[in-house]
Amino acid sequence: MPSKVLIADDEAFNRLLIEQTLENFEDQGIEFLTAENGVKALKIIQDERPNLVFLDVMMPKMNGFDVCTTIKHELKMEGVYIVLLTAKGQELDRLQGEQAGANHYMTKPFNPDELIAITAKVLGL
Amino acid sequence: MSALLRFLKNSLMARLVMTFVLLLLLTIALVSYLAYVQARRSLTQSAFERLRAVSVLKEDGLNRWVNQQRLNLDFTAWQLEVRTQAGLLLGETSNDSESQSAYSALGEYLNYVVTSISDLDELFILDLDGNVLLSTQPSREGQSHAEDLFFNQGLSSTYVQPVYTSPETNRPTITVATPLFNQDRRRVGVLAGNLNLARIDHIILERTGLGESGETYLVNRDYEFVSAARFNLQGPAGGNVRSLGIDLALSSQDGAGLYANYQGIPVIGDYHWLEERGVALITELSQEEAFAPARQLAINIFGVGFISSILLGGVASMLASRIAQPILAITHTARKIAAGDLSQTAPLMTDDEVGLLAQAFNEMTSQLRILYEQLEKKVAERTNDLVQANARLEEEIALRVLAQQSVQGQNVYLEALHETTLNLIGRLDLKELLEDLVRRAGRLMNTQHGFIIYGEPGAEVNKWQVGIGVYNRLVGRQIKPGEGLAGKVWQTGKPMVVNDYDQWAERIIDFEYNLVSSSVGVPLTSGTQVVGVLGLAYDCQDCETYSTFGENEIDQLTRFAHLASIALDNARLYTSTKEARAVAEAANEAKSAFLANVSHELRTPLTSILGFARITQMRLQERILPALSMDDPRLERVVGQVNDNLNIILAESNRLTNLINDLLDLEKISAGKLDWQMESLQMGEVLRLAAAATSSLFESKDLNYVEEISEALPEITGDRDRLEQVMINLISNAVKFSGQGAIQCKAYAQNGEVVVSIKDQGIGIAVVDQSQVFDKFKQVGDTLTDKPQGTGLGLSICKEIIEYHGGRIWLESELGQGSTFYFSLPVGEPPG
Repeated sequence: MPSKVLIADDEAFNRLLIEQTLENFEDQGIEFLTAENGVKALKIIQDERPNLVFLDVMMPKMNGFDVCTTIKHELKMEGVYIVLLTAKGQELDRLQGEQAGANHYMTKPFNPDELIAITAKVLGL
Repeated sequence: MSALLRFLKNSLMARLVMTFVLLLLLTIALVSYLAYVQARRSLTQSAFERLRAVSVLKEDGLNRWVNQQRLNLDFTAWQLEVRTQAGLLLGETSNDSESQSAYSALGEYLNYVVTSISDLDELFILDLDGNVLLSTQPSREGQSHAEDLFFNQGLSSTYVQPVYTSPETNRPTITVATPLFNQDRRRVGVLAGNLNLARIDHIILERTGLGESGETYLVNRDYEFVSAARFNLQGPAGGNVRSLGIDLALSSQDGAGLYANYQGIPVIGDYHWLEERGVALITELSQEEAFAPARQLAINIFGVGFISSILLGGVASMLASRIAQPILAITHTARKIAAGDLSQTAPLMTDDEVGLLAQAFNEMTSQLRILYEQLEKKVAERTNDLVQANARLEEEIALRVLAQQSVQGQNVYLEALHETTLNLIGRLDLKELLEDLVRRAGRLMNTQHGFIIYGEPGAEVNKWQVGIGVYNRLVGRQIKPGEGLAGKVWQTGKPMVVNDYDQWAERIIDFEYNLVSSSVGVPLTSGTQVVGVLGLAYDCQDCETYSTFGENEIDQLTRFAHLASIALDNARLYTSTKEARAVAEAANEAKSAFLANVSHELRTPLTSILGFARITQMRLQERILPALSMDDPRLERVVGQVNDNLNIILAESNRLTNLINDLLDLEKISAGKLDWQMESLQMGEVLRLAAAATSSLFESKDLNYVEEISEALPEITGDRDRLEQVMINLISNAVKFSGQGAIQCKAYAQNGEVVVSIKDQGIGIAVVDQSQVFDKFKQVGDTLTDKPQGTGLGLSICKEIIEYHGGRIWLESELGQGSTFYFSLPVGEPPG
């Protein structure tokens, strides 16, 4: 079954960046899904059940923290690895991320190598 | 019962009377008892005698009767005819016909005798052998009485057998027998006869003066009645008639006594054994009847005695009350005296002991009266003295009171002042304070109208801030200098009084002036400037009493205003300070929010730049370069350039990112917005972590890293990540500014602190620059020629971090020799 990766960010450049960074994985049967706001992101997670989600925190309609909280604490979905991305680097946000149930937290601008590494680890490639 | 006892307890007389009566009754009872006993004794004696007499009489009668029958028998036996016939009957020589005719003749004769003499029941003739040859009871003929006593005795002489129970009739019988002779005076047999004992009943039963219950009777050795008992003809069943008297008599003891008779009735009885007759003669009289007189006597005595005691008791109580009355009268008088009426005297009712008591009592009372009067006189004198003294005192007091009243007025004011001071010290809310002040002032002066105008120093117009009473409606109204009383005081800065405000030419027209009469205003100052006025006014209702503000009042009010001014100043200052602080805080908040926003905005495009540059580089290296043929040196150079350019973009992007991060960090730390995670930790650990993190830097350059962490390093309290950041920063700097050699990191304890040093053998820092090393954005070197490396914020951030931990950061350096950076951290908890 092909692995699915969801990229949720309101900035088009960011979505493109992440996709291009992980382009190599496409050869190994990865399906990329995108969402430009929190509500859409939530819906896609519920419908498609992606294995890995890159979730930007600052998004319209519903922010990343809330999406993460919903997925992890309310719906209690399993098998969805959520990485929160944010331009904010405060400890407070890191804590908030933990409380939201995020599996990992990365600040922007992030290290592309780190992105690749984490993808490889989560998808077992 | 208890009521009776209580009555007896309370009344002496009652006790006396009761005792007397009881004793009397007791005596009477005793007397009657003794009389009864005595009477009984004598009655017994006389009864005994009577009974004896009767007994003797009866005995005599009985014996005479028996003798009579004896004589009858004797007579019958002696008759010649009888003897002749008897001889024929009983003689041996007689033939049958002679016997037969003798038999019938005798028979006829005997029957005639029995019939005539009712006392004889039966007559019969016995031969010398004891056989009955002839009897008036034919059934007896032929029987043998050879053994019987009467026969054997009758052979010799006339014999009366004692009473016995006849075997034939089973009844008590007396048999008389006499020898029977023939005409020749030769004994031929015995003539016997049974007596009719019923005939003796009459003798025995006759009362002969024994009284209603008297009884005489005969009893045989078988305990049977021989005579018919008067009251019980049959006697107890079986003939068992017993009593003490009977027993004694039947044992041949004669006498008299008191005992219970055969019926169980107590009797006086005389008992006598009649030897010849073989019976006991008992004569009895019931004790009840016998002793009736004694009883009656006792009753009479007791009756009389009882009535007497009642009567005497009555007499005694009369006497007792006669005694009690005077005593009670004295008691009554005593009570009245005790209640206060000393004029009372006890009545002299008798001449006896009680009378003496009354007399003595009265003497005592009169003495008391005299003493009391004397005492009263003394008291009156003293009272008079006291009244005079009191009057004098009152005069003095009146004087003092007047003096005190004026003092009191002062006191009230001082108290109010004191209270005001205490209260105002703490007041910082301006509006509340103004309200409070005007009310206090009103209370102080006892007016119901008051106001305060208050404004900023140097203001052109002032404003009514608060007002009570009629001034309430002026609140908010503006006032110009010189306008009305308040305006004038504000302008001149001097207190002012206007009596008859309602008629004052310079009054404020739109104000309801006719409600206030006398009004006063005192200035409120801030520093040297007059910033407001405190005013009070009396209501026109008080026009009658015409209260005014005198010099005293103005003085007090001025002092109050002075206090008020200070308090108001404080409040104002506090408010402005508070406002200023609020403004500053708001500004700070705005700055933080702005920076957070800015950083976000800056980071977003940076992400793209960095990211895409990197991807481009990756594509170049992984896809494009391998696809190119590297023959063309120009192409090689271009490709190399492109790669380098991309590196430059990446490096610069990184630098920009670091700058933003550092800027944000610094701002957060200085604004106190950083989330410090303080914990107990070992600096040794932090050093090692930092060394690990910077290990790559050493590899690229030809540098060594030396570590020297002292053992038993005390723990410090700090934020692990931030301290690591400091270490990384310092090590990075050391690497940056060193070309070769070693970088030495040490950690040791010194004077209650943990000191860390990072020593390099690099270019060093000129003394002139050393003071600015920790400043923001300061970088060593000429800004034009030396390209700045790093952000220039690193050391500032280190300084902020170390100083937050309560430590110090400093350096030692010599240009060209290298630098050693130090920082210290306090052991344990950081101060504050």
